[in-house]
Parts: sequence; C-alpha cells; structure tokens
Amino acid sequence: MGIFTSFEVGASALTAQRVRLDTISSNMANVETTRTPEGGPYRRKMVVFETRKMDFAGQLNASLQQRAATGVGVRQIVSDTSEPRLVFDPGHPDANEQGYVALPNIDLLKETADMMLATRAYEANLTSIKTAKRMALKALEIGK
Amino acid sequence: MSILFDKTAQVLKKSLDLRSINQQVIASNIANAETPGYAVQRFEFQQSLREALLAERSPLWRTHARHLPSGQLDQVQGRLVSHPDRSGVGDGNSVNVDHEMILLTENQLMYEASTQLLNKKLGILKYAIQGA
Amino acid sequence: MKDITVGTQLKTLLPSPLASEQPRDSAFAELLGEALSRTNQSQLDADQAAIALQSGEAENLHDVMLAMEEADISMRLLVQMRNKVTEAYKEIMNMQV
Repeated sequence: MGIFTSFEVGASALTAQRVRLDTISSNMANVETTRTPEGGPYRRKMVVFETRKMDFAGQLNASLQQRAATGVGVRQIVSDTSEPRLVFDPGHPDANEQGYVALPNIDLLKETADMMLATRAYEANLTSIKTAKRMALKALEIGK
Repeated sequence: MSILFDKTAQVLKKSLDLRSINQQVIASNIANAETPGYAVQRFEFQQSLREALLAERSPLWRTHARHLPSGQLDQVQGRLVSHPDRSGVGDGNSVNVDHEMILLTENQLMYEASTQLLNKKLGILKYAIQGA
Repeated sequence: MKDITVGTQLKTLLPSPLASEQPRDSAFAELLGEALSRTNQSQLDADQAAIALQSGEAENLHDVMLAMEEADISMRLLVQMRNKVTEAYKEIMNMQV
C-alpha cells in the first residue's frame, strides 16, 4: 500500500544516515591512527549516496504512487585519496627517515559539522515517517 | 459510489488520493536531501484539481449537491515534475530540506482536514438514518 | 430562532380563543418546513465550504470546520425536533376524548 511505501522511503534514509554517522565516528576515532592492515595511516572514509527505487517500482503496472517513491542508499564507502598530513616528530615509532610521521588527514571540526548534518537529516526523515504514520491513523478514523 | 458518496464526498476522496501521493513524493525528497545529483520532485495537482472543481460549478450544482457525473474530477491525476539543480554549485542536489518540511506539514494538514470533513459528513448521514 | 417547544406546539392545537391567529395546519407545517430548509441549507453550505477548501478558495480552515459543525448540529436539532413532536403527537392521540 502507498502509505507503507512512505515508511520504507523514510526508513531507507534513516539507514543511510546511520551508515554515514558510523563512518564519521570511525573517522573521529582514528584521527591519530598511523598503522592500518593496508599499510600506512588511516584514510578518511566518506559515504556516497545514491537513489534507490523501492522494490515494486519496476513492475509494469506500478501506480504513480509506487513510482513516485524514491529512497536512498549508500552506494559505497570510499576512502579519501588525498595525501596524508606529514608532521615532524622524530620520536614517533612510525616516523620515516626524515623524522616525519604520516598522520590521517582528518579535521575534527569538519567531522563534527558533518555529524550535525547527518543528525539533522536523520531527524528530518523521522518527521517524515511520523507524518505518514499520523496520516494513516487519521484515515483509519474515517467513519468512527 | 452510491448514496453514500455525493459530489462533495467524491471531491474529498480525490483529495485524499492526491495528497497521499504527494506525501510520498515529499518523503522521497527528504530521504534524498543529500544524494548527489538528485533533482527535487514535485507532485503538481492543485491547479488541475481547482480547474476541475470550478468547471463543475453550475447553477444546478447548488440545488443538486448529491449526484452529478463528475467525469472531470476523476480525470485529475496530477503529474510528477522534476526540478533539477541549476546553480552549478555543489553536488547537484536541489533539495531544500526546510522547504520540504513545510510542504510536508501543509500536506498533512490538508489530508487530515479532508478526513475530518469526510468523517463529519458520514456522521451526519448515519445520525439521520438512526434518527435517535 | 423561533421558540420551538412542546408548549408552543400544544398551544396551536388548542381550540379558539387560545389558538393563534393562523389556522393550525400551516403554523405547524411552517415551523417544521422552515427548520427543514434551514438544515438543508446548512448542509449545502458545508458541502460548498469543503469543496472551496480543496480548490484553494477557502479563506480560513476554521470557517470550513465551523460550517461542517453547523451542518452536523443543525441535523441533530432537526431530528430531535421531529422526535419530540412525534412524541407530543402520540401523547395527544392517546388522550381519552
């Protein structure tokens, strides 16, 4: 039914924003990590969103209501390919011959701002789900 | 659609149909508020609904509010219009979340008003039938 | 709004000096007919207001809601009136002549 599609669209966004939040937490936790299994310092991770049509949108006789629903999903989590920060610290166990340590290029302020944006997006989608729910409940009351 | 559904009730039902779809479109916009390249979708039905309602207004309408073939009302389908981002700045996403939230609220309000009115109408009918 | 009580109804049914100027039938029928048309009008007005809301013409949401409420109450009043009058009529008919 149409009204449940609304929930699914909102839910897809909640999931996507959660993944984004996880990525941000990961970045913040690893702001000073110099060793990773892949070698080299931790690389900042970012999510890439893409639209996702809800399951039945592809059917031939999908109604306008079904086709109108566009959810969102995480296409992939990419690593930042820019060069790591080089900090002069000869005493560090991972310093190279010149005494520089390669640290992740993560800016905590930027991550915090990103986190706030993710939270706001999450809340906006919560409201959209709540609204859909309220409308459905009101429709149930017809004739009561 | 019989004695239960006079013209007004049909209009209200149509309004519920359209606003239901609108809710989904707005939900989709909100869900994709951060998807790169996503173009805002608008469900346009206000104008064609208005035209259908005005066209059916005739001297007859006031005295025979109950049944008139409302072919034009049935045909109001609304259409999905895309509004892509043309600013050339950023990731090509044209969603303004705050605007979407306002549209969401407005749509919800109108939907609930329609259910309320429909409810009242059915209530009056039921009461008249029961007579107590 | 005219005073519609059982007393008024009974008065119009009583013979000569106490009865009103008009003949009994039309006073009663008139009363009911008036209430009926007023209620009908309120229904039509409510319908019109609901449609105006959908077409975007309505000025205020509360006007529409009030119009619908008026239609509702008007109908209830009419039904109650009918019930009371029917009751009064039955009571009169049951009186030993």
